[in-house]
Amino acid sequence: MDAYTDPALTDKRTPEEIKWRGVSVVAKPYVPTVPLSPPTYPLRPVNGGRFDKAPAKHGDWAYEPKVNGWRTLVHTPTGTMFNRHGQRLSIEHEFGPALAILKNCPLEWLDCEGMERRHGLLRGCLIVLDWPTEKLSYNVRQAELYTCLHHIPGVHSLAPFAVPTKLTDSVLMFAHTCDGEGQAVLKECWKKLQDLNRVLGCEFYEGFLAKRRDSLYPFQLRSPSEEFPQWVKHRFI
Amino acid sequence: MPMPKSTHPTPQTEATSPPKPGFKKIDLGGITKKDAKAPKEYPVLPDPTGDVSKLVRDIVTEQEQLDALDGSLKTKKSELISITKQFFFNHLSGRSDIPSSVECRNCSSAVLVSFQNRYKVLPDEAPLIAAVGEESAARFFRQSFELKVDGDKALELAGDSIGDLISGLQELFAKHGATDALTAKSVIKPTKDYHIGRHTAFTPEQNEALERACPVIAAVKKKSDKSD
Repeated sequence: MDAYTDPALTDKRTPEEIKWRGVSVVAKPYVPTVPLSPPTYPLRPVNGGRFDKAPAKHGDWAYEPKVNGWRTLVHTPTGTMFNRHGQRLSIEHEFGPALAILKNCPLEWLDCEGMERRHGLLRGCLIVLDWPTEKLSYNVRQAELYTCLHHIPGVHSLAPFAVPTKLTDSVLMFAHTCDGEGQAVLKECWKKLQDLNRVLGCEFYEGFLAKRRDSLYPFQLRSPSEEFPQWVKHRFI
Repeated sequence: MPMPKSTHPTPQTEATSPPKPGFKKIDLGGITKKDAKAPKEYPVLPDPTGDVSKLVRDIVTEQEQLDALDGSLKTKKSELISITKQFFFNHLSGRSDIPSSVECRNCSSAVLVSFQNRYKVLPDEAPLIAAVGEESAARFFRQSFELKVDGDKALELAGDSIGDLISGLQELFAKHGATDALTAKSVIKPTKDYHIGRHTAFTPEQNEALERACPVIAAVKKKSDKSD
């Protein structure tokens, strides 16, 4: 599914420049659907248990740090947030500045984690995790996210082991993912994220979210609890 | 230790947040705030023999192993199903003798991937029409529904006329020749007050006896487990 953009956005590339593997991210001006509703429930990972107890996976996987926040689908043109059940997020007003930043994003929907209330870190920030679009693999989606977001003022990188604890009301995206360079390296990252929680004095990180690199983001409105087996969450506890 | 691989360059160096306009707040950093969502305090089960401790250790360890295995198995089965589906639809295209399963082997063992005549339900037909067009979608899919009556609420709202409401419903279905579509199940269940009230209304012995007739739904879960 192509994403639409507002013509007044800051991305100065031509549609041809943005066309990537046949999918244009600048297609036509945004026309709101009434009532607005997300095209899908956010993908829900399978529970993979503790990473240090989990059998080796088959295939090529990326490992994102799993952050303790509110999962939300953001409709960027209107700044509307939906929870994982497809309902309007009741704490949307607490993300006003971050939502204003995302109005400059040419991608219509973003899968984010909202940082509010659960701990004191990154209050009012939105961490962009993924771009819900059905035809592109995780690797391509991440590359496109970077292309579309990195130049927008107010968007910062989040290096997993250097959490900007004073930052608020911004948009962040992960600068790195842990990769399949061997279980030993991943186990070290797993341990290090737990050590960092101790330093931060809260459960900022919950573990890993493993995503198959060739996996798509299939849209489904059947059930918010339907699991997507190409994403696996590994929790510390 | 740096993360092993960078998927993309750093977009922007870390920035300090600009001061928030508007509302000025007093810093209450040193004062403990009452957190409405603070974890509840539960009574702790005494463990004079050490059996509780052993059971807790085993349950936590085995649950962790089970979660890890369960997740891994789900993921691998899903991948095999995905590969098999491609074969299933290509191999059987145009045929009507459709086997229920496909056998997948390695050198020493085999598993069956079964495709049963059971499907997930959809909230609406739009994705089906997008996939095969309206005519084909209408040929192979239909609307189904289930009407549910909340008996507790009906009783509360209709009061003494509940009998008339039920018989009226039966008559309505009979009038349209749809009596068989109307099913009812009668159960006995506790009132809203029972769960708390039983501790003051009954002795421990009576509660034990009640448990034999109507057991409470109990679950063992790891502390701190969250739904997402």
